[in-house]
Amino acid sequence: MGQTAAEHLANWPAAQSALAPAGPGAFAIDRLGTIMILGGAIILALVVMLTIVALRPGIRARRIIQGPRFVVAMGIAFPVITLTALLIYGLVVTRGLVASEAPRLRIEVTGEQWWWRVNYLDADGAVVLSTANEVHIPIGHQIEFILKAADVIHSFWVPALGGKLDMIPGRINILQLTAAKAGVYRGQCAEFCGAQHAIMSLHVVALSPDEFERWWARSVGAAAEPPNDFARRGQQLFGTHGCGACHTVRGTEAIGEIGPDLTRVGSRTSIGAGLLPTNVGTLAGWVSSSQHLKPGNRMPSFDRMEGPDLRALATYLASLR
Amino acid sequence: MEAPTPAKLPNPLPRPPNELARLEEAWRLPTGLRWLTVVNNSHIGILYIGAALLFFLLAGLLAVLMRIQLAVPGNTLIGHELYNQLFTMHGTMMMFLFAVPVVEAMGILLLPNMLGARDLPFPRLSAYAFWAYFIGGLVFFTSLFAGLAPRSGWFMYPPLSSSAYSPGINADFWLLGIGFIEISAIAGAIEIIVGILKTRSPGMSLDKLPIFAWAMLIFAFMIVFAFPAVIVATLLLELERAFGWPFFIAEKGGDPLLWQHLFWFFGHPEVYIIFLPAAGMVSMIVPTMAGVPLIGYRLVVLAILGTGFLSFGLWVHHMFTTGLPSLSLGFFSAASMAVAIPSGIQVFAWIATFASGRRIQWTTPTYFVLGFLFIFTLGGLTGVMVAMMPFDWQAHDTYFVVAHLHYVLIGGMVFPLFAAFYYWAPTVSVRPLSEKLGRWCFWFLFAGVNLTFFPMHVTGLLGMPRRVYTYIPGLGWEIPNLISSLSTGLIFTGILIFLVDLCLNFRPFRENAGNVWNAGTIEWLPASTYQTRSIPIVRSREPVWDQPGLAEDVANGRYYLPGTVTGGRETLITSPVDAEPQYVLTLPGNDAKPLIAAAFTAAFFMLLTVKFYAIAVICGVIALLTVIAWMWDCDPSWDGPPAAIGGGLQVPINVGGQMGHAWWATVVLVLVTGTAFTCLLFSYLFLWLSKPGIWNASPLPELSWAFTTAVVYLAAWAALHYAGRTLARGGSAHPFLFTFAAVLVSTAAASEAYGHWQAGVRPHATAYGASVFALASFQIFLALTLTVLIVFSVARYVAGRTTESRRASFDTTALLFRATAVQGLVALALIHGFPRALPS
Amino acid sequence: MSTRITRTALGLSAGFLIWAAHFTLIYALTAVTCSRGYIGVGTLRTSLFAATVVALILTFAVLPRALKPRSGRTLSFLGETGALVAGLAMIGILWNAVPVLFLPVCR
Repeated sequence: MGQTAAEHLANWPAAQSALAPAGPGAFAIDRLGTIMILGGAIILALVVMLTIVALRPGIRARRIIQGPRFVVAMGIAFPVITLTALLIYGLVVTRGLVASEAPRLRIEVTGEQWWWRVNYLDADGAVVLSTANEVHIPIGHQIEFILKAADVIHSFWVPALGGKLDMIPGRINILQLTAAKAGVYRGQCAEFCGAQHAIMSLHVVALSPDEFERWWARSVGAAAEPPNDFARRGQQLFGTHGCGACHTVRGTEAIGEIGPDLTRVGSRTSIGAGLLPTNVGTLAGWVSSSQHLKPGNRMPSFDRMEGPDLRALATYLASLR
Repeated sequence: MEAPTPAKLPNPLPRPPNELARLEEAWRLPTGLRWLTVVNNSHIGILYIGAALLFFLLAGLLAVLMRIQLAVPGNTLIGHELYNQLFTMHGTMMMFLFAVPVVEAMGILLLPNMLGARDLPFPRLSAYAFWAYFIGGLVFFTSLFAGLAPRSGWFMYPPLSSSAYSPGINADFWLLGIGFIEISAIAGAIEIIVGILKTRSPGMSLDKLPIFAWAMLIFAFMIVFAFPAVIVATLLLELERAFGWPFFIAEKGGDPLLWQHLFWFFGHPEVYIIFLPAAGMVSMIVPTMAGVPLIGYRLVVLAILGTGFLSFGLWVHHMFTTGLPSLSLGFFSAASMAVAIPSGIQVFAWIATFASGRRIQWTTPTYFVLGFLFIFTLGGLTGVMVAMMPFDWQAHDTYFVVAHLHYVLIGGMVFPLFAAFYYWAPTVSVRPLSEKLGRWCFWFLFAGVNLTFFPMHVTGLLGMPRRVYTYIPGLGWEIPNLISSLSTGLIFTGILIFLVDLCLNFRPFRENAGNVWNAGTIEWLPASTYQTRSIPIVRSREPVWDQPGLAEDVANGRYYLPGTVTGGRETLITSPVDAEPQYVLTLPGNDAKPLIAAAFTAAFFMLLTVKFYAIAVICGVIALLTVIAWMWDCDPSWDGPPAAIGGGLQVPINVGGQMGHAWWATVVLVLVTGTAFTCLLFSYLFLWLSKPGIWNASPLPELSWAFTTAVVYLAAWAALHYAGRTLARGGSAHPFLFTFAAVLVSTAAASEAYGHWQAGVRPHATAYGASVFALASFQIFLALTLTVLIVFSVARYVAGRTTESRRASFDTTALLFRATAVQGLVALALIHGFPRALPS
Repeated sequence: MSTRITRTALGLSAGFLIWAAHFTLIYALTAVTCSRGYIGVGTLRTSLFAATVVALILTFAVLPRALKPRSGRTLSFLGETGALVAGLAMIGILWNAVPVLFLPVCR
């Protein structure tokens, strides 16, 4: 990762904390965690206190903790009682998290080295909208994530909304999440997946149902036409450099499926799966030196492009909104 | 056994004048370069610990590099390529080259004295295990400098570690590194099990066994049942990488989760494999420092047994996020609760023991034990947290887990180990370690470990995944990461102080400082190169406290076997439950063969990894020949009279059969191979469960072929049976029958594989074929091993070294033979019966 | 002599062996049912409870044997430890059945 990337990363606003829950699943886990942390702290304090008493021959209370009966009481009876209670509570929380209701939306997310392919599915399971590294969802609704892996094991995790679930080649895992309030929630691959595991993030944008509908209407359908000649030149360069072999821009000749769908790339929060914020400059930087910015990813560096061409191409990409 | 009263100790004084000189001569250490040929466990133990500490330091330095990289966000100091190698090597080395070997080494070092044995029964095996581990470990580490170190994390999940995503030999180096520790761990486990069961002092019945020995016994059995799973896993992965057998490739019917099941079936017990001996050490140290026997001995034994068993029911709690049905996960969550009880018992038994002491000795070991209590309890509590599935769904694979595992492993194992170093140093060193430096070391480590790892709980809950080489600012991770990184310096300083202490004060291999803590167990009796001058009669759990004058009487030779009967090295073999004397075992002296065999074994594996096949095979053959030469002298005959070991007791010398130590070792080996076999059966059934379609579509050989193979196995059994009878009767047909049995068992194993090949099954085509041929290959491997053993045994017979009465080579081979035949029949029933029994 | 140590080992670990058998059985039953579905979810739940009851009875049956008076400290020590093991195993078996009460099967 180059210096430029590090600088850009510095401007990243995001929330990726399990301690700032924003959905019912994350709330329930947070409560369970808080109870266990408090309980654990009390037990630790108790053990420390007992140890201090044990080490001070002067203290009278020491006599109580001298025999095997104390060992049975604290080592067997006490954990049996507390852990039974905890086990039952934990199972009740678990039941709440795995119980499924009919989802409002079904979104297939595929982990690839090192980005996220996002497909919105219709009732029959057909893809109606394809994007990458960013998921828009309406708040207050159960969303079903259908998790797959294209190459190695990845793990889908948006801490503010709930726990993680692995994406395993040959298996399909289902995760249901709900966002309670609007906001942008950052997620990151949690299972080590190779060289650039550290740079594999995604953003979940939770919108009010109305806003979500507006976003949806904006997002389906063909790509926007280039707004000016400069961008149009960029579109031609996109074709002549063979970008369409790997990328799709709906409504154009670009129908490649190896890399992310670029139909709305200009509107996405980040490029490179959380590497850089999207703008003309970063897009140009990514095209010309993706191997420098994120070594090992499958996008070659187009480092022979002339400056003006690069800018035209980046302008075109940025116009895809 | 009924112990004689002190007035009637087994041997009278004065002792014959040359008795001690002969004993010293038998146990004399070689000098100069020949020193490398030492084999006795108490010396190998020190080398073993030294090597493990070296790997601890190296792996620790890798961690320091990682902490420097993570000190600030967006750091460009260490790139992803190196970083991913660093954390893989750090985890692998700490677990496989430090933690397991060092506790095993502590056992090998301490057990002879603690049991009152001159040595454990297989000193050369320990020497071999040590050298294989040391040489292999060094080579494994140097792969880092060539950029060839593995980089898929210490649990090497496929498909990331498969050839498609890890081309090159980096991953193979991991499999190599693990191979060595597998060999040495299992060799050590055999030594420890047979040693604890058979070489205890008379009177040390199981209810008087020191807790450390209980812990090491269960530790060794856990290795026997856990390590085969990782052996099988690494073999399957290497078969996939080298020959394309698709065990873990989903498109061909494999399943990446098979690896996770096998790996964690080893990996979770592994944590307790490390913890149990450490807890055993604490159970020895606390009573000494409190000056009273351990409170709740029986409960602590229960806890050790409980940990040993229950820890095998936890492995899926490393797989809570893989999407298995929540009920299946629930079973493991519940079992994870259950394993908390044994830990609780031990913690409160130690507290109760401290509470019972009239005067606590405030020594460096005491400090480390108290530090351990705090850190381990905290780690145990976060362990209960991650055992709750919903919480784990957040915490899994984050820095919270990194914090938890370091608390458990450093608290549960490193602190007890340092306590043990300071505590037992006087038994092997002329001077104890410095109390003053020890205190400094403790406080630096205690502060450093807490300040480094406690903030990681927070970093994890703030969303930081583990194994990232860099991170972005603005997520709240900067401050905790910086604290963690800076505090690493405290740990580093603490370790440095310990090393200085070692340099200044640790002087092993000569006399020792003696019972400086006034401890009660017999490893504190006077000892020299021959360990104990005479083998004591043990009448309580703390004989040194309860049997006045014991040290003096033992040192003067008033107890059993005060000299050498045969003129060479010997120890006393006792019965496993009651420790009644059974026979005197002669032990081998210094020998270069274990070192040579280990070096060539290491060369064999390393050259295979770098694909120099021809030289590799040559090295392998040399290693094998060396082992054969070493085995040639085993099972020696003794024509003299039984040994008078004192007290009017006449015991035989070198007994074979079911009382013999070789037979016991083979029983343990059969458990190892049986567990490996079971793991292969599991793999077959698991892959069926995962991808049943392939099972229905795959061809099966005719049933008659399976029956024929079964008949050949039975015929092999019969041939073996008659070979045994002819041996007992001195009949000349023995070599022919025995050889014939080898031919038959090899034929049976080969015919199973051939049948499937004829039917059109191919190992590289589907996971079904791969799992069928994996089972068949394992049987072929065992049959080949048996053939080598049988040729060896027959050669001994021809040379007059195997006779009616000296038949250990036959008996042990026969045991493995029968186990192989049973496995062959079970595999036939499963592979030919199961698909036919399935509803189509 | 080897039969004596074998008996000792079995006596010490009987409770845990039953725990292990129970654990393996309920895990395997659940795994096979959830991926193959030879038996219904209701039947699975019933069989899991039945397995638990049988395991508890078996573990309980270890106690009288373990606790019967014996000559010698070693033997009574081993017997009593075996009884404690059975007790801990019962807790383990009971806890393993708790998830069946609270969790949906196969989800």
